[in-house]
Amino acid sequence: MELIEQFALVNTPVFLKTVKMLLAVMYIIHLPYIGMLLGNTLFSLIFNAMDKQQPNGLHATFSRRLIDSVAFRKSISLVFGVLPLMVITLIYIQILQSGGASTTLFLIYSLVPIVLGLIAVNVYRITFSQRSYLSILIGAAGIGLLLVGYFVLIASVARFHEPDRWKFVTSLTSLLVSYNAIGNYLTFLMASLAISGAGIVFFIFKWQNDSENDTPEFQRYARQFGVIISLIFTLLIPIFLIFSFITLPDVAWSNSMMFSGILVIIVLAIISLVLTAMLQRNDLKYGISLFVLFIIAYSLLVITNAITRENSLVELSKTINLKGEAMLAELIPERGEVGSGLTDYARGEDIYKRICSTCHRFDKQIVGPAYNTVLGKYENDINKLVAFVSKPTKVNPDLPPMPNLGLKINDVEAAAGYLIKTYQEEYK
Amino acid sequence: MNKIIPRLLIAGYFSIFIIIIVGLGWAWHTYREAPDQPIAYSHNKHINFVGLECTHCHAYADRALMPGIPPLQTCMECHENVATDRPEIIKLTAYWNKKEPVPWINVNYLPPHVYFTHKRHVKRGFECAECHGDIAHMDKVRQVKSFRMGWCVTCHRANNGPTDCWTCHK
Ligand code: HEC
Ligand code: HEC
Ligand code: HEC
Ligand code: HEC
Ligand code: HEC
Ligand code: HEC
Repeated sequence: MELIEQFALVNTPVFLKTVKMLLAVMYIIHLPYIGMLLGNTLFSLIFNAMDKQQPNGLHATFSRRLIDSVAFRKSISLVFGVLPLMVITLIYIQILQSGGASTTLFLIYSLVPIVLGLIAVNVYRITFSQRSYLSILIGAAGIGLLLVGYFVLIASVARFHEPDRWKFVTSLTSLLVSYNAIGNYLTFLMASLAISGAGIVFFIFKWQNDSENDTPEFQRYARQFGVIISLIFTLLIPIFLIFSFITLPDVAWSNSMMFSGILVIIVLAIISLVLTAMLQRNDLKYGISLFVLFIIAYSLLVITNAITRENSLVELSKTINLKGEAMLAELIPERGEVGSGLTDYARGEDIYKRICSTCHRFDKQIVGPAYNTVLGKYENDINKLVAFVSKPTKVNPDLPPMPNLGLKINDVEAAAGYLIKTYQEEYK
Repeated sequence: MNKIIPRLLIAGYFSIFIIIIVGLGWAWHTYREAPDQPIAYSHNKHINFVGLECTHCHAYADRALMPGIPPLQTCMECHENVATDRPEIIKLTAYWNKKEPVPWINVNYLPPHVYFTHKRHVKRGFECAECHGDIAHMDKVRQVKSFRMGWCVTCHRANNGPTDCWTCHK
């Protein structure tokens, strides 16, 4: 846990905002990619196994084409797979600081099966030409590892939305027993299969150079398969999405979250309409727009998720922002020459009236003590007064502590000068 | 004809989900959203800026069933003089002058068949935040925990609290 804290940097509000934007971008890069990787590998394994049982040229070609896509080469799976994941984990550590330490740990654990899974899938791709059972086995193991890894990842992210339960998350099982986590996970799986269906239509025919050699029979088969798979799983997404909404804690809800949830559903409806049109017309005209629509749907899902996170963590964010501001104030020296404000009585009066007078009067105690009872001890040592107001310390146990008002040093000096002058002239 | 029916089916199918979301949102808005209080009192401001303790206002937290919502008297100790020109404080003063209590909307509550006491829990050393969330940083009080039976019992099990039915249902 202490190790986690060491990684975290100072959170200023602007920095935090940037980091959260980066988080959303990373998700939008990562999720569609990993969805296609999962889906394509799964389908490739299924066709591969089918071909083994009963040799069928069509299945064999399809299996190879599914996994042979450029997108799954090592370098690209680093850029779209591992790298964003690392960044995502670091960002959560940053956002939560030590607040959700045990959940951040689970997030880090989840990286292990995911990275191993990515490696196994790559081994399957490389050894595909051998067509051995071992190769299929490694591929299946890869899928299994990825499924486990993403469940842990999604479950711990779902936990971020329930800060009140962080304390109780001490074992893997108590992490797994959240309906919301299961809802999110199933939504993720459905979306993965749906986008890999669309990816088959889009990538296999647009981007792979040997598509000219494909027989029309193969083309028809692959296209039909992609469209139907994509349609089925697109239709299933909203069921699980609704389930994950119902299981959200109340604090995570808000009107804007509801609104972006509705947008997701509308985009999914448009996707389904496009898919049925493709099915009926039997052409590939909409391949690109379909893919773009999926990216939009993913982005909206990520935004919905970010809104729920912000809703649940408002108080935590406030604390973190305050901490960040305080640290920043210490890092950046105040402007203005020390001592130059002491005789600026007009400014001092203005500050007294605007700020100090909410809690102080000269002649009576309100929140803070009456000035005529406390200023005597500062009369001959104005710097001590400036020091107190810049960084108040506890004085009178019967009163609440005075807050640090965050004023510039010249303003504090002006107020102090005005107070001492008024005290000496009118109340002494 | 052949093309219209699938499209209508799809539109209908997805509309069902939109209706469900709107329904959920409505239910949440009616029953769960943090209500707007008659006076925009902010815990965040009074705790972190003014520097008050919870017990300054909720005086009975360690002594009684309920910590109590502070009477107007408590506010007027300060607001007879403090920030009297702000609209919210003018409203507050109006209640005070009419000798009417402020109709605060209750946020955290249990059904009447449940017996709950703050005294035992606070004496045992639980922080307010454990059950109410980070009130100190809220501008508007909202319920953070579910307050369902499962929530109470989970903590009782974890801390050797009583789990007999009659401790909570009298
Ligand atoms: C939010 C309310 C609040 C505001 C605003 C505020 N103070 Fe105070 N002040 C207090 C409280 C409460 C104390 C008593 C602190 C204590 O005794 O520990 C105090 C104490 C003091 C004291 C007495 C310290 C002592 O040695 O007993 C001085 C002087 C003072 N404030 C100056 C100022 C000045 C100058 C400003 C405006 C720039 C200001 N305060 C604004 C609440 C406030
Ligand atoms: C200046 C007085 C004051 C202080 C100090 C104060 N409160 Fe309150 N509190 C109120 C008032 C007034 C309400 C009712 C209005 C509201 O809900 O915003 C309230 C409401 C609440 C409620 C919700 C009651 C309900 O309806 O369910 C809780 C819980 C609560 N306070 C906890 C705390 C905690 C915890 C602290 C200390 C961190 C604290 N309060 C400090 C004045 C105060
Ligand atoms: C210990 C003194 C103290 C008590 C008790 C107190 N307040 Fe305040 N309150 C303050 C101070 C000081 C401010 C001014 C903060 C500022 O300058 O913004 C304030 C600000 C406010 C504001 C915001 C005014 C605005 O629009 O900026 C409201 C509303 C308010 N108080 C309501 C209440 C209510 C309701 C109670 C009783 C439950 C209460 N206060 C009790 C000291 C107090
Ligand atoms: C063990 C959990 C728990 C702890 C700890 C706790 N509360 Fe509560 N609080 C509750 C529950 C439950 C209710 C609702 C009670 C009911 O309606 O019967 C409640 C209600 C309240 C209310 C509303 C009372 C009313 O009259 O409507 C206030 C105010 C409050 N709590 C303040 C506090 C403060 C201040 C503390 C810290 C000193 C605190 N609570 C600690 C569980 C807790
Ligand atoms: C944060 C943990 C926690 C939560 C949450 C909690 N309790 Fe408790 N409760 C305790 C513990 C611990 C005790 C035992 C206290 C003792 O023995 O001093 C206790 C004791 C009690 C008692 C016995 C008091 C008596 O006078 O005998 C009742 C009744 C009770 N709780 C009701 C509830 C209800 C109802 C809820 C849910 C609304 C709840 N508690 C939530 C920890 C909790
Ligand atoms: C630690 C406190 C606690 C204990 C022990 C407890 N309950 Fe409850 N019970 C609650 C609370 C709080 C509610 C109201 C919130 C809710 O509906 O979940 C409740 C509600 C109920 C309800 C109404 C459910 C509903 O949906 O309205 C029933 C029935 C019930 N309890 C039965 C029992 C029985 C039987 C036992 C003994 C095995 C028991 N309770 C023990 C706290 C407790």
